[in-house]
Amino acid sequence: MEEITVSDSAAADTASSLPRKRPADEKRDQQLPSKKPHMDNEPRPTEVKEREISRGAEAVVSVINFLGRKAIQKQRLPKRYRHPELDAKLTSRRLQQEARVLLRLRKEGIRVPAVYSVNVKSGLLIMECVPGLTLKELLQENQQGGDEVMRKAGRAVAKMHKCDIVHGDLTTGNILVHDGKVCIIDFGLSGGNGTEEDLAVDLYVLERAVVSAHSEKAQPLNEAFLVAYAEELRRPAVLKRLEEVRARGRKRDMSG
Amino acid sequence: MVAPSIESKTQPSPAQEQPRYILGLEGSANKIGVAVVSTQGQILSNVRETFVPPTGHGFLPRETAQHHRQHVVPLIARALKQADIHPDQILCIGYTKGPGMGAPLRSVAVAARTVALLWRCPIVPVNHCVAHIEMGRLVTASHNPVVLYVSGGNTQVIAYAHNRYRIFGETIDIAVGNCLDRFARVVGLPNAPSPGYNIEQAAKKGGVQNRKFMQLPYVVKGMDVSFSGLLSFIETEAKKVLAEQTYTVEDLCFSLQETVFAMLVEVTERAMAHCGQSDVLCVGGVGCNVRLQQMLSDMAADRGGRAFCTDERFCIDNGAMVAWTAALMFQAGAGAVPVAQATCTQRFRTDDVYVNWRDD
Ligand SMILES: Nc1ncnc2c1ncn2[C@@H]1O[C@H](COP(=O)(O)OP(=O)(O)OP(=O)(O)O)[C@@H](O)[C@H]1O
Ligand SMILES: [Mg+2]
Repeated sequence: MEEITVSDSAAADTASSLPRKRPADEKRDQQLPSKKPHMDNEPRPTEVKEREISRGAEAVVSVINFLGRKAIQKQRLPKRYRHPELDAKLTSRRLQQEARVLLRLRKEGIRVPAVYSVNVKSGLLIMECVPGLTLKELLQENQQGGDEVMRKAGRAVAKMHKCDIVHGDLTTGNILVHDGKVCIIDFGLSGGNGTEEDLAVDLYVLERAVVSAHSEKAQPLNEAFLVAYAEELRRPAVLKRLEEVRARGRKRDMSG
Repeated sequence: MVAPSIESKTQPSPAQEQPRYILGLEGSANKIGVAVVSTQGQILSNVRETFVPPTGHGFLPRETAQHHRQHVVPLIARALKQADIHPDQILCIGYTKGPGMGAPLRSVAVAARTVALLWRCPIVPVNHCVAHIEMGRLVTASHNPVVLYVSGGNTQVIAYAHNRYRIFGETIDIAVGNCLDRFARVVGLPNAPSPGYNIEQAAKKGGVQNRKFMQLPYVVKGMDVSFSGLLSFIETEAKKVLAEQTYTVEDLCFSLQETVFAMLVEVTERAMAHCGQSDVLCVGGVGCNVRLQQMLSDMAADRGGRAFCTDERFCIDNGAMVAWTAALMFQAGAGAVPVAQATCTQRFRTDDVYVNWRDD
């Protein structure tokens, strides 16, 4: 995969004008001079400054103006600590994997950001900006309604798993929630071939993310997630496997 | 066990002051360490003996336990002598409850119970992983970093929240130190002073610019890592490429280090991003590897933070870490148990400990 630019109309069908909740979003909005869509031949608005919103382990994520529309730019920068050969390989592999999976899941009708542009050489992925909060922020903020969101997340993850796609970093920071709808992001570490073990490890990672960041109410949240997940997936063997993965986790703390 | 031949109990203590020293005993793996620290965290002595299995051998629990039983009394005597204190000045005894290897843990717990009864001191069971973290915090004066804990038996990424050291990421199969040790055996590197040290030296022998990098499986799942696939790959591949002379042992050591450390640094950075923290503390035996320290520093610097590392005295298992953690626990008003309950356990998770001595 060298470079894809998805046509503007494909992008347009995903652009959302729904109200935005998070304060960061409001700031992003203020920096946009107009919401009028720009045509390809129209000059790009130059007065819009890029704004960094996250610096993760892999990428710098910013809000940018792409063809007159608010978009998310995910740039994977070289890592100084990593051997250059290894670094280059990981960066391009993950970027391509993320773009592929986004396109694939979208085709399957699962809510993920629309891909606008991919440039492997410069480590750039430009995609739809999904409004709303991360599940992590949402669980930290509101006291009620967490169970319902977790049920929705459970169904969304099951749908993804039905396509034999394993996320690889399924944490509450990588699930966006807006207007009751759930959108999974960050597919750079995705892969696997849909074995029960792979799916169960995905579930285990999410379960632990909920426990470590939202410990007081983790139990009912995880329960709600798993019930909805199981209903949607209809593969009881995965939950059985999850028990095994958990047991392995408990046993691990030994020397040797 | 023979009664310690330390200065006799009848001898009066130098001054009738409050006891304010803690004796710590560590022996969860192949090292036995004894130390004396003050309630303020001053390290008065920190002595250690290591059981080194012959080249080609892994852990030998029975021999290790025997080694510890042989050395514990002379080490206690040495620690007290170096610290220049009398048993009367000891406030409490700390020992490692777990996690670790059963036989070595038990042999040190017996010694701890014996001196506690002999000197009528309270006894405090300590979690080995928490002890590594508290030692790192004491020595580097880092306040609330994300912790990368890497040793022969453990690989964890930890962050403190609400009175617990929570595990954000860990190995889903073998520990990084175990992976290094087993690789060293395959290519015939000796166990002395430690397999990891020999890999580090081989990797930089004659300059890293002369190394040829070999692509190895790189398995990161979110904040978790996996080394077993990589280890079996390099185990089979090593024999082949060494016979064909396409790579040298030094090339393999270099490639292995670059790959496994990059995995560790990546998951550490992910946890830092997740917790919104920019400092990292590296503890555990693998943490004295200078290349790992350098990679952590590069990563932290790019995030506007710092990497805190210690040298082999404190990052390799030692008595001071246990003594200091016992001091924290005891002074926070909990920690001491009746001698009959001063047992040990092979499994003891870092997040099982309620950290009542921190109030942030
Ligand atoms: N399409 C999007 N729409 C809205 N916000 C997004 C979108 N993509 C990413 N974000 C925001 O940016 C943050 C980071 O994005 P992402 O998870 O893709 O990269 P990363 O976290 O840097 O990678 P890693 O998890 O490996 O550290 C998300 O938590 C989210 O807040
Ligand atoms: Mg992310």
